[in-house]
Amino acid sequence: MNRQPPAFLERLAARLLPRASREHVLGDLSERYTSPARYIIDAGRTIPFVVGSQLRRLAPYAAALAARVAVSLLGIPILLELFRVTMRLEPSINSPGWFSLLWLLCLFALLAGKRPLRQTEEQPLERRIATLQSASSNTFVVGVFYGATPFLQILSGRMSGLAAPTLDGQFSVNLSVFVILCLGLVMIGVASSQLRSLEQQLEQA
Amino acid sequence: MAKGGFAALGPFEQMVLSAILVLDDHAYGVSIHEAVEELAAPKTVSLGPIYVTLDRLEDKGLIASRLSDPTPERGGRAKRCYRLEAAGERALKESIAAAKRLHRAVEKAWNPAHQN
Repeated sequence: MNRQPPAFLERLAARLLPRASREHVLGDLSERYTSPARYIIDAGRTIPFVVGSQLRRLAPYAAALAARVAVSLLGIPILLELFRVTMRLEPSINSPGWFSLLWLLCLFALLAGKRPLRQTEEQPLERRIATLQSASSNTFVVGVFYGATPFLQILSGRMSGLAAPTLDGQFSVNLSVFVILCLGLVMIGVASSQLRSLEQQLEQA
Repeated sequence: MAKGGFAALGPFEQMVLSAILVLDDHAYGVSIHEAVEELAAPKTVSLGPIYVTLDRLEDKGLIASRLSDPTPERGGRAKRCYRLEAAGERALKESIAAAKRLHRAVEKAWNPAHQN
């Protein structure tokens, strides 16, 4: 009869291992099992490498998602500036929107010159374009929500019978900040769920 | 990829690829580790770097893997079996050819009398 490692040690190792490698690494450790001490040494010399390797494999996806979120968030001050210019509300050359636009252009330049981290058959240019398209659509959605905010305020003011708040009033600023924070949280949530689904795809591959 | 379309292999990658080639259908974590330990003797190799190298070689498209059926001697867990891809075989052949060229050059330098 084959000796098996203690269940609690296996459970601990399973918790520490990434899902993509769990099954076969636990099997290999189990096959090499001779004693609990040996199992702990084996696991201690294996798991950090497996975790590190999995992180390296996910790094390009995580970097792409981080860039997508960063680009989307950078779009907010630009849209704010456009909104201020459109509504003739104190446009200024020193406002954060222009710095944001400059930084965004720098980011695009950096991304354009970046080499893919993995030597796969994928077309890096197509992947980059897809990322930028996705970032643009995210920014557009944020812009639509943000642009609609003052009109929603006026509408809600009319519906409740209260006086419609002015566009440059404190109410407008508070509500806009609230909406931006909510959208930021939603985008972070979407990004993390995308990361999880990518991890599942890698597991299946 | 190196010039000429071949992936440049490190010495450890060469050993892992050679182990997979030798083991054929029985190449999985534990058996690859044992084969690499034999090739690397007297140095000892732990299991962790083997997984890292296997992941890297798979990302480069030099090897492919699949999960086998679970077996009772492994606590009912599956093996991840590896096999060489055509690109992996080409890269290994190129590495061996480079090692032979290096060997000949060193032999010539150390034994000038053997030159034609």
